[in-house]
Amino acid sequence: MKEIARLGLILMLICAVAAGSLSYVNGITSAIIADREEKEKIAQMQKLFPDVATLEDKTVDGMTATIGLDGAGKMVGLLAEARTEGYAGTIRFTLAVDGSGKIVGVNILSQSETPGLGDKIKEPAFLSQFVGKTGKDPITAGQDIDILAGATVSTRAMASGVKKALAEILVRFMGAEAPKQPTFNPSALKDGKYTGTADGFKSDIKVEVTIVGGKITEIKVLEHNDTANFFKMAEEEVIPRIINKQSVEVDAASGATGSSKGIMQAVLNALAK
Amino acid sequence: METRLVVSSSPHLKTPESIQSVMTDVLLALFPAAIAGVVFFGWMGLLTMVLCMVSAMVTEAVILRQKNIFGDGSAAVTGLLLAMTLPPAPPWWLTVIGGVVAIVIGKQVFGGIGNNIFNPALVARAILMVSWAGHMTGWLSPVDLVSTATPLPLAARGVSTSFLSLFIGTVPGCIGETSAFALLLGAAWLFYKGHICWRIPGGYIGVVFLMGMFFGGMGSLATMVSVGLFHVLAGGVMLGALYMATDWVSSPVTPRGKLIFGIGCGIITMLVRLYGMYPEGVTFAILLMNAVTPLIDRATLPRKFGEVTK
Amino acid sequence: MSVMKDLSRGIIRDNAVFRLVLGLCPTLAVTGTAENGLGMGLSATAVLVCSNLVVAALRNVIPNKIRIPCFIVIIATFVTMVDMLLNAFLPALHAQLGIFVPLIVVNCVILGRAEAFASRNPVLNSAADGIGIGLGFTLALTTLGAVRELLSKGTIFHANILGSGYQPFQVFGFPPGAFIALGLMLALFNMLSRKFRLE
Repeated sequence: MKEIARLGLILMLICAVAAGSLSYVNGITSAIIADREEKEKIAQMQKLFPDVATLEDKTVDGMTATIGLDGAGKMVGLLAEARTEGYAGTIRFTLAVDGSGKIVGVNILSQSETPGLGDKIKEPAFLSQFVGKTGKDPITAGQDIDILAGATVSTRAMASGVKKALAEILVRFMGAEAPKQPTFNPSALKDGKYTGTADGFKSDIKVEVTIVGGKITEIKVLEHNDTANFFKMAEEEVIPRIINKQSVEVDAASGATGSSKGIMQAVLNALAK
Repeated sequence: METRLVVSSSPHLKTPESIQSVMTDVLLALFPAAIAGVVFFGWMGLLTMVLCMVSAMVTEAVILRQKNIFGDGSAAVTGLLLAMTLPPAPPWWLTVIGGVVAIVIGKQVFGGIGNNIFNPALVARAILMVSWAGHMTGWLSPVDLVSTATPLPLAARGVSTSFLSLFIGTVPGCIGETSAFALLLGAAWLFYKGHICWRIPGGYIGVVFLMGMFFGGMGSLATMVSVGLFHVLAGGVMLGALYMATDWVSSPVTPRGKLIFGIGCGIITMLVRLYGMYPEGVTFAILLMNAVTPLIDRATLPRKFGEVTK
Repeated sequence: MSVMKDLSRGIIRDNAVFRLVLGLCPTLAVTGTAENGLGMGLSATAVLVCSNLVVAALRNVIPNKIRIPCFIVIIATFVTMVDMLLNAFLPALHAQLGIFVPLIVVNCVILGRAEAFASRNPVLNSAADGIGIGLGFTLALTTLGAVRELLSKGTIFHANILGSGYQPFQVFGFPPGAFIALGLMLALFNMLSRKFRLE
């Protein structure tokens, strides 16, 4: 008993000295570290927006952005984090948007795309393509964003992710009006054939929807470039569901989510015109 | 073989088989697939195969300080197997480095033939893949040799790749992996000579088919079967299951162990394909199962005759 | 044994990585470039010297039964200090080394030297041993970092060596390449030490 008390006491003494010296060093360094981190944050924002004087963190609808204010307290730009689903998991990135709603920079925080192919999305040559784009630009792979060789899915994921994040930022922080969710009412539509396109997993999907007597009676896929076997799975499952429910709010085919969602969106685009 | 008089205790088994004769058989078995590679991908395919074999054989001869460059033939097999897993037109230095890496890191550092834990050709392929993914995925469509994608990752280009072309091999891919027909033809020779048994390839291909069917996505039965079949025929499963996973040195020796080994390879391959960040998982699957081969062997050791369980 | 001998021994003859094969976690993890290897080596050296000093000074006070917890507390204290000081004064290096600075705590080189040397030798010899082993560790990490950086990027300390046409052997930048490079270097070191009869 006495022995244990002695050992405990010695260990406690050593710990006490250690704790004391640590708190001393922490007292010296913590102020320096906090100061430096704050300066770095502002410097990082100033690199994007030279007029930034102070920063403010703001959260709207679950999206957090660091907003840069100039000396007069006016917003000159913001930096927000967003994510998108790539070929192999989530890609996290930051998006810098200036006061007029123009993209100033995109930076990848984390990604797990295939090394040597998909992970080229983090290279400046690719990311600089987004700079200068606004909400009016298409921001679509193959149009104004070049598709990386061997990394179609990663490129498409980045393009659509940036497009979506920009739209959200504009609505949440810049006071833009939320775009009306397109809807359709089959019973109000005239009989006939309607066509529409949307993003699939790795290509555009074009569908033809036939309306007879105010009901969707047939959906035909005119064009697509997705992986054939997986697309077939989506086609076989999703189209009957849409016709059954007379709505595009249906479950996706497991294993072919990208293609399924593409079909739903294409039908919506066809009928919501 | 050099010493005429061998003194050893009984039993005295004699076989005309030597390492050299077995390796020659394997080379013969790879011949149809090699021909298919040359037919589909032209002289670049041939050049790659020759370059890879020469680089592997020269490396082996230098390390072992042997004058006969063919040696026991194992380096030639390793070189040819590696070449078959390369894209049709890799830069020449990639092929040469591959051959050297296969022999040095895949085989000789472990103590040479019979001692390597991993399949040397796959070690080299994994290292090349991680190092130069861009060069390792420079796929060409066969015959007209236009740059394109393989059926597996971003397949089919809208038109479904027909199973006939997957079977014959007129699809983009590695030099020796595309033609299931040629690979099966060669494997038949190995079966006939008794160098491989059905357990590893059977377990491997069966699991790939079943997992492709049930986890590749749900649909009508016909679609599920076609997805399963697609996973078997596309990519490197045929080449891997018949020639790489069956490597004597790096796979289990017990019959049950062989089955477990094949099933394990199939499961890992499909996990990588369906959920991993690489489109193809054959290389990693076989390498991982190579690593647990000693454990499988120990766990499946047959009981001695007359042994009693305690 | 003389102080000088304690100092020189750790650099080559008892090199922590190549001869004792200790402290492999940081050796494998942070040697992607020569600069990181050097930074990690020097940080570990600082901790090693301090902990050796304190352990040697307290070697008659610390009871044998609780020596390991005592060593760990002492080492952890110095590691935390180094972490805070690096963060405050060398932020760029701190950002590069990241999680591996706190992990110096479990670097077995440091605990190993406290246990095997500092707890049974005078203060001065222990400090010398710390410097020697630390420099040997730094040397090993920097060489390994240089080799890996040269192969995976074609540069050493960011200076381009192999020219712009070099096709980077990227595997050496990744963890598997660390194992391969370390293995090959161990083989080379063994070959050389046999040649020069270091045994």
